[in-house]
Amino acid sequence: MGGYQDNTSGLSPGWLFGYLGRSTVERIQHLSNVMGLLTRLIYIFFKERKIGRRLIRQTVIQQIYSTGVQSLGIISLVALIFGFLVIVQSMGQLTRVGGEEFLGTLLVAVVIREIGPLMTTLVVILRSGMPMSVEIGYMHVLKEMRALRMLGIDPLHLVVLPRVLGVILAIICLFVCFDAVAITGGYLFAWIFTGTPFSVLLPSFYRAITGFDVIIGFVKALFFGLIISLVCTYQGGLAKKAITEVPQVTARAAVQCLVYCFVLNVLISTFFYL
Amino acid sequence: MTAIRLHINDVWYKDNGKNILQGVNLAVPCSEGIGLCDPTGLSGAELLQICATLLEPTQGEIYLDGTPVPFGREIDLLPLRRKIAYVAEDTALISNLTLLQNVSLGWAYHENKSLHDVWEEGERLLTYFQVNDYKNLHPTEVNAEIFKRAVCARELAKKPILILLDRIINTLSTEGQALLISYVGKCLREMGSSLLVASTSAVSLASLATLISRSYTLEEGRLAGENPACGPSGSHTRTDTARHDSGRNSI
Repeated sequence: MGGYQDNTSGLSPGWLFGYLGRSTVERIQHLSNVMGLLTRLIYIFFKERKIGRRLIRQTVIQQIYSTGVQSLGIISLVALIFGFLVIVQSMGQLTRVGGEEFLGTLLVAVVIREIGPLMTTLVVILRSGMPMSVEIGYMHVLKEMRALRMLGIDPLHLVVLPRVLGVILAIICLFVCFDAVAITGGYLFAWIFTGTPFSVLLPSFYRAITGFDVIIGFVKALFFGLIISLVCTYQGGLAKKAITEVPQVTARAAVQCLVYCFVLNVLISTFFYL
Repeated sequence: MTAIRLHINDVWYKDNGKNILQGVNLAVPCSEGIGLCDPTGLSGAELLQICATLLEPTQGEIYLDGTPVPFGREIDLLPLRRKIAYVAEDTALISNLTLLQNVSLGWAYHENKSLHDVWEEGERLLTYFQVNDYKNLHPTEVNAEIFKRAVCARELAKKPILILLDRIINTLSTEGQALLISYVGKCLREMGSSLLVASTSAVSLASLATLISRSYTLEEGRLAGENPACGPSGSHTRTDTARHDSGRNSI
């Protein structure tokens, strides 16, 4: 039976260990490749500072516009919804136990520390990461990267580096916007629907928030922006020959960005808050 | 004795276990053009990509103006590529830039000129190739002929010392061919550039008779000797620059 394979052998312990080993090696290889890309970008950033500055600056601004400015609407909407939900749910539970004064603490813990960076990341992956992966993938398949190299231009310098810088700067700004809209919008909704006055909500919030929370938020946003831009551009670069490879690498990029950002979020939160 | 611009020394290239190039030796002198007639279109394309430093040969060396090409060190290859014009059948333009931006991209990136000067240079070349009317259109908005002419303009904008044309001639209209031949001829005469052309048919090479002094046939990745059908009309004298070693696959 020429092409027939016995699938039952796939369930043996040997197969399982083999699969685990292979996938671990693949993950390590992938991570080391992404780290290699980061190292190369840092080297290029310092070495090629004087070349093509006008074009690089222009591309960074374009990236900030497409990732940051154009995402403001959706980020504000998501922030409003989450801010409202968190405040309404928290108020409902806290009033039962007479702990309204802890609302601010809860808001800081949930919205600023966790939901803010994660939801911003999710929106940026969908709104900018995936298109970036598609764009880079198409540029590879359509040999536009080769055309750049033939002009003596390093695609990492002109295409990848500005996108990485743009996404990082944009995600930090979006994170600030998300938190501001979530808190103020949430309070506004809470005041409209539950009648809770600002005088109750705001003081507890100001007591709870510290500069440390804001810094950790920025650190998260910085790393998430770095992960999204690096993984998406790296995966986009893996599309080489056929257009059909582009959606595959894009889907892989989105999943990897989500996993890496969520895992990093857990690590940062555990390290700083536990 | 004419100086050698490009020296291909025992170049082998293997792809998926198949020998695409097998010990090719060739020397291209300054101000001279050489044609490669490659009926399969595969070996010639790979050889020209190696000469353009886009592919690394499996074995052998490429010398440009007597200096070996540092394959594998991308950062050192970039300045070299600015001296080489490589126009292939599938050469792309950057799709999110207009034709003018595409042609001026190299200057805008490398040179500290004002945008006005950069655009002016670009427009001059687009005008030469008679596509300046389309300068503000994107590559997807123009037809294949205008696209190819813009590609030629962008590559020749580098003022190259080496011009590599891969199966481009038969994709251009008669008018486009005439413009390209005239500009390349100017580069050969005035700047001492060298030309290496690959084509699938001898007829296409014959249309470049004013530019190429010799032409060879590539058979199964080997240079099989001078092809009289592709040869020049006699306007150039043959210079004895080719290597003679095994006689099997070298010139």
